[in-house]
Amino acid sequence: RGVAEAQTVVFLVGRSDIATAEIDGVSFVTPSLLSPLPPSKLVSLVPASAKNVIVLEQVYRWSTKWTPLYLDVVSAVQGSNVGVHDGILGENVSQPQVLQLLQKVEAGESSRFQLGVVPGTSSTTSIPVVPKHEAAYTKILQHLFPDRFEVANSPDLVATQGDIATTPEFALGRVRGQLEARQQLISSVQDLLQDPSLSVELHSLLGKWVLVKDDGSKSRQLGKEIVSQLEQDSFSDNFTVQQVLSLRDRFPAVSRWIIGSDAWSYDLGASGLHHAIASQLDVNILIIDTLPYSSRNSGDPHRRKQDVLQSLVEADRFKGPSVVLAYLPYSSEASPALEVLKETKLAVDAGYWPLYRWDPSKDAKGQEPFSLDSDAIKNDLRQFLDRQNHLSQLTRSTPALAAEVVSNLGDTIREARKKRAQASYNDLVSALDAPPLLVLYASDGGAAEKKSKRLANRAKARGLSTTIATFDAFTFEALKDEEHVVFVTSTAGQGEPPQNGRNFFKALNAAALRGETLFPNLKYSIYAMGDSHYWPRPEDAHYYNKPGKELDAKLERLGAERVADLGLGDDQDADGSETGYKIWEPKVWKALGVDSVEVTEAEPEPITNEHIKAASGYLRGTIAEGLEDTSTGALAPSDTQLTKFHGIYQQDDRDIRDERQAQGVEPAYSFMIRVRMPGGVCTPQQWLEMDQISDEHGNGTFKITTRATFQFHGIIKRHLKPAMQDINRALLDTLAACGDVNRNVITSSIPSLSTLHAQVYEFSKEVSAHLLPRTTAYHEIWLDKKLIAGDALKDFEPIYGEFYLPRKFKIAVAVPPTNDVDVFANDLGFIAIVGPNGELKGFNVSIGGGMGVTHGNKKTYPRAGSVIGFCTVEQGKYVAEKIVLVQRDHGNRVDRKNARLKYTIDRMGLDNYKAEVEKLLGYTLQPARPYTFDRNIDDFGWHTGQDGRHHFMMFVENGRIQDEPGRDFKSGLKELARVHQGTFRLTANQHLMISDVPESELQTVKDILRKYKMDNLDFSGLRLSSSACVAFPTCGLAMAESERYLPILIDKVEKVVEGAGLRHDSIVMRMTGCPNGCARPYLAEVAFVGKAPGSYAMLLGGGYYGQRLNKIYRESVTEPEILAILTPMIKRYALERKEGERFGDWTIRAGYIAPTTEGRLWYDRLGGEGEWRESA
Amino acid sequence: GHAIREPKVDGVTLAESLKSTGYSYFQYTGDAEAQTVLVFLNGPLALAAQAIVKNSGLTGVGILTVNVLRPWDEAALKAVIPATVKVVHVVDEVPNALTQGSLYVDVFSSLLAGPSKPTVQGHRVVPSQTQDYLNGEKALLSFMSGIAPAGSPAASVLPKDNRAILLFGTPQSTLASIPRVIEDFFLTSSKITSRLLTDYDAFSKQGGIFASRIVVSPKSDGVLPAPIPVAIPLDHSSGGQSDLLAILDQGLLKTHSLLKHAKPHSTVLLNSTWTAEEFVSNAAGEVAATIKERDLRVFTIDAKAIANGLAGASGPENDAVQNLVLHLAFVRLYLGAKANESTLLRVVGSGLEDTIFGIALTKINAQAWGGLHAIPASELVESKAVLKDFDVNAIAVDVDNGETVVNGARLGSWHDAARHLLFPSVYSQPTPESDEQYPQNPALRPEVPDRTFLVTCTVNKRLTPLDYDRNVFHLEFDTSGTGLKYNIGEALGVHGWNDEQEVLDFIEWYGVSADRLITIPVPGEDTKLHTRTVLQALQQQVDLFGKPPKSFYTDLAEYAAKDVDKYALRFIGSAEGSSTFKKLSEKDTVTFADVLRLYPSARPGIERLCELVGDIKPRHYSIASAQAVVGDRVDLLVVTVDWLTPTGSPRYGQCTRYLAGLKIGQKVTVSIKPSVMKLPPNPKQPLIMAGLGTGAAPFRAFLQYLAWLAEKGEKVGPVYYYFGSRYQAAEYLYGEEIEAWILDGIVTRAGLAFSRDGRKKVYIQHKMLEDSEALAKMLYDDEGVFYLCGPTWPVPDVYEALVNALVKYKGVEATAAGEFLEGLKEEERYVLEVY
Repeated sequence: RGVAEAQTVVFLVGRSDIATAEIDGVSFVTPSLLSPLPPSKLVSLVPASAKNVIVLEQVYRWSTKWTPLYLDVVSAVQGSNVGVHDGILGENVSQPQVLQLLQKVEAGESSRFQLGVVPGTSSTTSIPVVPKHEAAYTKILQHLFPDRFEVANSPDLVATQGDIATTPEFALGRVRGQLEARQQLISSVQDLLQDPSLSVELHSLLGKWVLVKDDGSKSRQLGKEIVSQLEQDSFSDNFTVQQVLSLRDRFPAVSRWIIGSDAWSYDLGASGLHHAIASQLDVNILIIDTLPYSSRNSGDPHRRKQDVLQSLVEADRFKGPSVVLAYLPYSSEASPALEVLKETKLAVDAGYWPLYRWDPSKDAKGQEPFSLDSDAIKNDLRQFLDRQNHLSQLTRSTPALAAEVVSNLGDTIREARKKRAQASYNDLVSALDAPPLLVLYASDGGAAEKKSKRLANRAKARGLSTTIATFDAFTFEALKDEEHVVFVTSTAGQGEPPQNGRNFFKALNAAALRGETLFPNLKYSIYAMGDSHYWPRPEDAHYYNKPGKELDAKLERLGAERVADLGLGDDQDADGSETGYKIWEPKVWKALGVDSVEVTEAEPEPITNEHIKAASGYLRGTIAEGLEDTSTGALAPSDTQLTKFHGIYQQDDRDIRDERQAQGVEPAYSFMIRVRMPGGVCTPQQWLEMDQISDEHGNGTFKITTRATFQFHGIIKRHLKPAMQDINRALLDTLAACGDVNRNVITSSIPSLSTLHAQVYEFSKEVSAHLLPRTTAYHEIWLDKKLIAGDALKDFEPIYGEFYLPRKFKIAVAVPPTNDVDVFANDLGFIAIVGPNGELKGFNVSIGGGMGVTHGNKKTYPRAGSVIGFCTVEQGKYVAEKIVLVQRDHGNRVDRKNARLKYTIDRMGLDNYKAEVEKLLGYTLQPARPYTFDRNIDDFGWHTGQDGRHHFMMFVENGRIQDEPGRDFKSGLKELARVHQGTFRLTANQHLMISDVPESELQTVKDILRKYKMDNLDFSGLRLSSSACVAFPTCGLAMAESERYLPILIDKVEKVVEGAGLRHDSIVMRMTGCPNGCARPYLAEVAFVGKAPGSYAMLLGGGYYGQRLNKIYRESVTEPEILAILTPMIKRYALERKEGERFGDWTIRAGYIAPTTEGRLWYDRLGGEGEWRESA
Repeated sequence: GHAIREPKVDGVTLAESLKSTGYSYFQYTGDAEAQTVLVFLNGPLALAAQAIVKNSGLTGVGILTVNVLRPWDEAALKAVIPATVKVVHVVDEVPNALTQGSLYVDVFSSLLAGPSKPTVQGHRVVPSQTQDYLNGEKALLSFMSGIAPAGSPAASVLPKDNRAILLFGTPQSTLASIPRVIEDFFLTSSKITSRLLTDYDAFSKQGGIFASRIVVSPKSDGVLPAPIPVAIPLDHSSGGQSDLLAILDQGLLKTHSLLKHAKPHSTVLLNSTWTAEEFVSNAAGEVAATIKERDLRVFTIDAKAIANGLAGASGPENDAVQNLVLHLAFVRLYLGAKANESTLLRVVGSGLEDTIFGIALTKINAQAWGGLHAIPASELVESKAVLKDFDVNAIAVDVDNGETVVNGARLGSWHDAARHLLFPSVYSQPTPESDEQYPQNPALRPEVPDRTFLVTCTVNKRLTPLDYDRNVFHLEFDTSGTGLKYNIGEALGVHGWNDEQEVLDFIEWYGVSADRLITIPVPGEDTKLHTRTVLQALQQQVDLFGKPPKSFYTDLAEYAAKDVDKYALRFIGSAEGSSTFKKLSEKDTVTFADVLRLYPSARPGIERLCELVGDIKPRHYSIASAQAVVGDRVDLLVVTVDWLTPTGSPRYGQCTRYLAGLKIGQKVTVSIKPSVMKLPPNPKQPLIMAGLGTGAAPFRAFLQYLAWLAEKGEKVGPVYYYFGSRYQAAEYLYGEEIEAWILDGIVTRAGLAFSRDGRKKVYIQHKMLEDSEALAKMLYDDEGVFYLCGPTWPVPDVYEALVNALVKYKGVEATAAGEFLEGLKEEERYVLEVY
C-alpha cells in the first residue's frame, strides 16, 4: 500500500498488525509468501524514486546473519544505489515509534533497528535439548554399534564450535578429516612394517592390524596392544613411531553417522546431500523426516523397528555414502512416543511411505539392488501376478530416466540423453540421401504381412528409408507422387486379392478400364504369394497368383515402370514361398541400386553329411516316405546319403542321362544294393536266392565285389523294398554295407587250413557283429518290423553315436602267408598269428590303410597300414572297437576329403593314436609278432583241406556273374548250387571258391564245372592277377572306363608278356575309373587310375604281396602310350630279373621309379627317375 | 536445528584437526591479481575448471574451491580471495532450476560485510548442464571465457605433449583386456602417467562394442590432469583427437565409422585377416574417404594367424599370444620410427618373462614385427554408404568374477515390476485414453492392436449328436459394454488361448517358473513391450502349439547346446532338409513345443523363445448372427478339427479345442475382420446361398437379418438356400431355424443335400440342377447374388452346375457363361468364401 512515488519502501513480515495510517513518501509492502521471491517482482515493487528500503521482520533469534528476505531485496536492487536497512519487528507497535524510526533512516544511521517490544529471549546458548523421540533412533544406533558408534555432528561440539557444528558440511568436513588421519595412520604403519629393526612379534601385530583394519572390534584391541607395546619399548627417537603414536586413537575402525532432520533437505537445497553422496566417502547419513500423517489407529512399532535395524546394518556395511531416510512424524513436543510410532506404521501400510532399500553394489553382484516391503504395493503386485487376469504392464523399450531417481550417478543420465540425440540424428542422416521406398502389402493370414515387414527391415538395413502400409490404406492420389513402390500380395479364394487390398484392386480395375496413364514416374516391383496346388484341377491353374499377375499387368498398362519382374512364391516349392522370394529380392536391391551394400548376414555354413546324419534320427530320414512317393523314381537327395548306411546307392544310367534330360524327364534312377557278408562265405541256398533276386528285382546279373560280397545293380525304387526283404529272408542283410560305418569285414579265403579258417571266419563274424550299427531304422523301413511296442525305447548307438564315423571304415583279416585281402589297404587289419601246431594265437593289428585320393589335392594320398602291435583273439573285437572310437572322436569332420583314419593317424602321429587306443583299452598292446606274406592273389584250382574236403578256386573275370556267350557262369553256378553241399567263398579279388566239397560229390561238381567251362584256368598269370572296378555305366564317380576296358587292354599286353616268355608269371595289374581306388590300385605292381575318358594315370613299383605303395610314373597316358612304355619294360624285365624277383621290385631296382616309403611322401619324385623322368 | 546429547569425544576442535591434516577450507588457483573469481564446490567440475585455468593461460581469472561447506568461516574465505577481485561468480549444482543455490547464499552473505564489495553473481547449474561441462573442454571453456574479463585468449587446455590413445573392440572377445594391459604398460614407467576410461555401446551391435580412452601425459607435478571425457571427447563434432587408434575387430570397421576419431596424420592399427587388396575392397566408402582426407597411416596385423602359427588352435595359449602380438604391434607403433626389433623386445620384455606358454618371447616378437603391414593409401576407392557411429549408452560396473555385465532396461523380476509400480512416472509412457475398467495406476493395462474386445461366452452348445464323429457346436458371446460392432457376414477373429494344462506341462518341462515376469513385445507391434508372467505369455499370446515354419528350425539351431541337435535343426531348416521338414510338418504335424521336445538341448531364453515362436494368430470364423437382430451378441458355428498322427497320438486344432472347451461366463479376446460376404445394397435382389457344413454360418446371419427386415414389413427378395452335409439327423445345422424361415417364406426354396442319407450321394449341385431354371433367371435377368461358403472341393461342380443352368435356360454357350460368371465376380455378385 502507500503512495506510488515513495522515497522509502518498508517491507513488513509477520503477524502483528501495526495500524499503518498514511505517511507521505512511505509505502508499505507485506509480502504474502516467504521463499522463493523472484527478484523481478521485488524490483517491480521498488519504485525507481525510492532511496531507502527498510526490511522489518518479526523473527526471534537470528540464525544466519542476514534474513532471506533482506538478501532477496538486496540482491534484487543491487547495482542501483538505494540504501537497504534491516530491522526487527516487535509486538504492538504504535504510530510514533514508526516515525522516529524513519528519521533515523534519513539520518543515515546504519546499524540494525528494533521496532516494538521483543518478547524475552533467554540468551543462553541453551543446549538444544534432544526430545526423547529422536533418542529412539540414536538408542537403536547405539546398541547396534555399541562401542564404535560416533556422531560426526553431535551437539556438544556446539559448546566449543558454536551451534554451527550441527550442519552437514561441517560434519562432512570432520568426517573427511578423520578419514585422512586414518589414511595417514595406515600408511605410516605400512612404513613401520618396512624397517627391519622391529621385533617379529610387533611386526606380526602390525601386520594383523593392517589386515583387520576395517573390522570394528578386532581393530580396537589390536590397536590397544600395539600402542601399549610402542610405549614401553624405547623407540622415542624414531619418527614414524611417534607419528603412529600421535594418531594412536585412530586405530579402531568406527562407523560414522551424520544425524540430522529433514530441515536439512529443505533449507540447503539438495546440494549438501549431493556433496555428501558425491564425495564417495564411507559415511552414513541418517535423515529423520517429521511431517505428520493423519487418521489414527494403533499398532506395534516392533515389526517396523526390526526393519529399521536391518536397513541401518546394511547402510553401515555398504562402503561409500549411504542414506537412510527414517520416518518419525510428530506434531508437538508433548505428544507421547507411541502416538508417534503409530503414525509411522500407518504411513507405511498405506504405501504412502514405502520402506525400500537400494544397494547398487548388489547390482554388480548380480543380486537385486532394490528391495521393497510395503504392503499396499504388494497388493497391486499380487493382483498383477495372478493367473487369469488380463492385466499386463506396459513399458517403453528404453526407460527415459528423469531426475527424481537418484542412482548410480552420472552415467545412466548421460546415456539416455545420448540416445535421444542419436535417434534424431539417425532420422536426418537416413532421410537425406537414399531413395525412399514404399512397401505396400495385402494379406489375410499375415504371411504376406510378415514378408513385407522383413523386406522393410532389410531395406532399412540397406539405408533405404522405407514406409510400410496396406494396399487399402494407400489411395491412388497418394500413390501418384511415390517413386519406388514394392507390392507384396497373397491370394485368397479363387485367385482373388486379400481382404485389405480389395478396394485398391477395384480402383485399379476401374482405372485400367479407363486406360489413362496414371503413374508415369512410378517404379514398382511385385512379389505374389500363392499355392499352385490349392485348386488342383488343371483348368483352374490360372487362379495361381492371379492377383499378383493382374496387378503386374494393370500397373504396366497404367504407365508404371517395372524395375524388377514379378516374384512368385509358391507354397509347393521346396522352401515354400521362400524359394521364389530369394530369387526376387536381390533383383529389387539391384534395381534400387543398393545391392552392393552387403549386409553381414552370417553366411550359414553349408549342409554337410554330418547335418544329414544328425537330423536322420539314426538313419531314418524320410526314406520310408520317399519309398511311398510314386511321383518320382528317386529318393530325397539327403536320403540317398542315408541309404548308403543301409547298403544302398542311388544311381542313374549315365549312358542315357543326356537324352532323358533333353526330353525334360528325370534321370532313370535305379539302386545298387551291396550285401553284408562277413568273411565272404555263403551257403548254396543263399547263392540261389541271390541269383533269384538279381532276376526278379535287379538287372539279371550280380557281382562279386572287392569286399568279397554280392552287389546288385539296376533295382528300381518299386523293387527296392521287396529286394531288401528277400535278401533278409535269405538270412543275409545289407546293413552297414556302405556309409560312414564299418563295412564288410573280409577275410582271406585259404583253402587248405579249414579249422584255422573256421576260427578266423568266426572271428570276422564276431568283429562284424560287434561293430554293427544298432539302429532299428533298418528293420523299420525295409522289413516293416517295429521291434517293440510303441515308441517306448529310443534308438541308441553305443559305438557310433549320432554322427557315426567321419568316413567309411574297412577291416580285413589276413592269414599269412596269403594276403589276398590286401590287409594294408584297410583302415584296420588283423594279421593272423598261427602257433607252431596250427592253432590261432592272435592277430597283429595294422591301422591307417586307405586308398582314396582326389586329383590335384596334395592333402589326399594313399597309405599302407602300419602294424602297431599284437592282440589275442578275445581282445580282437575290443581293439577294433577302441580304434573305431578314437577315429570317431578325432576324425576330421570338416573336410570329408581328409576324414579317413589314415589322415587322422598322420595328423595325430601314429604313437599318439596308439596311446589313445590303449588308454581306452586300459592295457597296452603286446609288441607285434613276426609274420610273412608271399602273395596277394588267389591260388586257383583244386585243393584238399585237413578234414579231407576239396576246394576249387575258380576265375571270375572282375567278379561279374552273368551268362554271356560261351561263358554262362550264372546258370552254371545256379545248377552247381543246387547240388553242392558245402559253401561258397567269395574272395577279395572278386573270384569264387567252391569249398567243402565232400568226397561223395566231387565228381558231380567236376562235371558241372566242366559243363559250363567254369574250370578252365589257362589264362596268363597277368590276367589271373588283374582286377578292375565297376566304373561305367552305373558308378556316379567314374571318370574313365575300367571293368569294360581292362580285359581289352590285357589282351594286348598279354601278347607282349607271352612274347617275353612270361606267360605263367603273375604281374599284379589293377585299374580303377576314378582315384577313389576301390580296386586298390595303389598297391598293385602296375596300376591305371582313370583321369578322363580314355586317359589314365600310370603307376609303378607296388609290392607284389601288397606291402608297398606304388608311385605315379606318368600323369596321364592313353592306350598307345601305355603299350609303348610297357613293351620294352616287360622285355627288359624278362631278361634282367633275378631269380624270383617280382616286377614291382624290379622297376625300382631298374631305376624307373622311386619306392614310396610312406603315404605322405607319395607325391614327391613322381614321374619316374633319372632318364625315365617325364619332362614337365 | 536439532542435536543429540552424547558421550564426549576428545577436546581438540574440528578446525585444528582439519588443519592438522593439512586440509584447508578453501583453496585458490589461478593468477593472484584476478578481477573475476569462480567459486565451485569441491567436485569433478571444480577439478576441470582448475585444469583449465592453470593450463590455458587465462589471465585475470581465479578458481576458488570450497572444500568444507559447514563450518563456513568467512575469514578464511576473504583471506584467500585476492583483493583485486571485482566480480565473484558462484557456480551452484542444483537438482532443478527452482531451488536456491546454497553456496551462493554463503558467499554472498559473507562478502557483504567487508570493505571491497565485489558483485556476486549466482549460476545454477542443473545436472544436464553439468554433463555438458564435463564432456569435453569446449563448453566449460566458453562458459569461463564468457565471464572472464574480455580479451583473454582461450586456448585449449590440454597439455600439448600428452597422447590420446583410443581402442575399439567387442567386450566378449578375448582381446577386451588389451586396454588394461596397455595402461599397466604405461604405469610401469615412472616418467609418465596414464589414465584409462572404458565406455560401452550396448545397442547398435549385437553383443556390444567398447571404446577405451587412454591419456598418456608426462608425469609433471603441478599440472592437474583433465578428466578423460574432457581430454578425449567422443562426440562427433570435434574432428578426431586420437594420436593412435587401434581397432581390435575388423568387423567394426564395416559397420561403424571409427576413423573419424583419429586426428589427421595419426596412425591407425587394425587387427584383421584381410590382405592389402582385400582391405581395399572391404574398406567401405567413408573409411577410404577419411583415410585420404586426413591421410591416416593404416597398419594391419593378423594376430589370430600369428597365434595359430605359434600356439596351435584356439585355447588359452592362443589367446595369450594374440594379446601379446597386438600389444607388441601397439607398442611398436607407439614408439614410432625410432624403434627397432630389439628395442621393442627390451621395452616390452621388461614386464614379461621370456617364454610365454613355452613359446620364446623373441619368436613372438619377431612374428609380431613381421606381421605388421602398412596399407598404402593410393588405390582406395570412394563409395557412398552410411556407417553407424559409436555412442555411450550403457555402463559397466566390473565385479570380481570378471565378466562385465552390461544392463539396459529389461524387466526381469517382480522387484523391477515393483520398482516400476513405485516410480510409475519414470517408466510408463503416456497412455492413450483407454476406457476406465482398470482403476489402478496407469501402467497396468492390456494392449493389443486393432481393437480386440473382451467378450463373455454365454452359450456353448454341441449341435451334433454326442456319438457322432464330427463335433459341430454353436457359440454365443455377450458383447454388451465392449462396444463391439460388426456387419453381417464379417468374420470374428478369435485369439484362442493355449490349453492351460499343456502350457503348464510345457513350462515345467522347459524348466522356467510359471510366475516369472518376462517382457515381450506387444502382439502386433514391436516397439511397445509389455510385461506378463511366463504362464500368461505362453498361454495367452505365444503360438506354442502352432505349426513351426522352416525358419524356426534354423533360428533354433543357434541355441542348441549339443552338436547333434544343432546339426539336425540346421539341416531341417535348410533347403536340403525340405523332405524331412515336410515329413515333420505335414505327416507328424509337429508343434513348436514338439520340436523343442525333440531337440531338448536347444533352449533359448524364454523371451527369445516367445519371439522365435511368434504370436498366436487369431483364427477367423464367420459370424453366424446379425447384430441388428441379436443386439449385444455374436454367434459362431465351429467344428472341432482333431486328427491322429501316425504314431497314434491325438492332435487338436489349437483354437477350436479352446473354443470347444469354453465354459459359460469365460471371457475371450476377439477382433472383427471384414470379409467378402456382405449383403447386396438393396434387399429386393434375389439371393442364392450355398453352404456346406459350417459354411452355413454366414447365411444364418443373412437370413436372420432378412427375417428381421420382413418383420418390419420391408419387402425382401426371393432367397434360394442350398445346404449340404452328411446326415440330416446328425448334421442339419440350424435345421429348425431354417425350417421356420421356410415356413415364414423368408427362404423361398431350400435345397437340402444330405450326402449319406440315401444310397446315392446327393450334393448341393444336384439340388441346384433341379431348379436351374430359376437360378439362371435370377442371375441373368434380375440381378441375383450367388454366395458359396465352405470347403474348396465343391467349387468346380457348383460352377459347372451354374454354367449348365445358363446354357440350358438362357441359351448362352459355355464359354460365354463362364465369362458371365467371371464378370459376376467383379461385380461381387458371385461371392466365394472357401477355406
